[in-house]
Amino acid sequence: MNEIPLTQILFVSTALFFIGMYGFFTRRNMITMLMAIELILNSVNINFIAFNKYLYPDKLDGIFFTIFIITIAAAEAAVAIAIIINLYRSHKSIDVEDAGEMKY
Amino acid sequence: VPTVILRRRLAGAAHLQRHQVPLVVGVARIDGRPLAHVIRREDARHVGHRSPHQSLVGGIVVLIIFSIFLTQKAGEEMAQPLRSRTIFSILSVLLGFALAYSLIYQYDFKSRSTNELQVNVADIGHQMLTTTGNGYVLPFEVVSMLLLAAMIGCIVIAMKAKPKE
Repeated sequence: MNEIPLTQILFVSTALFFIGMYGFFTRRNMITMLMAIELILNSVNINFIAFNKYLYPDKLDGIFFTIFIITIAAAEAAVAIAIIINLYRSHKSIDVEDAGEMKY
Repeated sequence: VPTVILRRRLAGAAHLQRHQVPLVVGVARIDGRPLAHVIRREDARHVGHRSPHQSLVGGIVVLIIFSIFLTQKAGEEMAQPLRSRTIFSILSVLLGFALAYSLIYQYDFKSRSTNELQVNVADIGHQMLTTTGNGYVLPFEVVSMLLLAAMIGCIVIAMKAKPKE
């Protein structure tokens, strides 16, 4: 079976990272921006797994980093969504442009 | 079956909206369980092999769907982004991609060994709970504290403030 070269996997993860970057720059809906951040984190996960598989196949450290990134992303998404719901209650909007002030 | 589940989720979101129950209810319920129901109905045989972190990923997805339901009205009248911002972000993203990929393409990655990566869940579990050598028990505990702190933080943030009398 032919091996996929590491550079192609890194191409995918770089593309995913910059797609997430584009979504983060252009979107105004906060939940969509959160999804863009998830895309960026997942591209980093792909990098960790690919480097682990191709450069250090005797170890498992990349997999552990991926597991912990996924866990921290879950915590981050939960806190962010709680903030978004609270902001929606007070401002009736989830547009980032409307969230100018931090105090209420 | 999926439409039934979706309808139930919608009803749940509407219920949350109506009674102003804090999101915490959603967060507490999420922890993989609604997803587990979905998976159990669709493919009962493979449920036993899921790791908790896979259900974390499912938890994030369910959380995002929940919040889209909760703030559904806001998505309709949202204005388009500025044209100049779109153009500049496309430009910067393309430039960044070209720069990063040209660096990756020029670098010659060399492997240290020719072994095949063997991953089984038992090895991951052993190494995660080992205290000596390459064990990951300290980050494991720290991450569990982080999840607890995030959960309490969500409860505090999403709690509805009582009006003062």
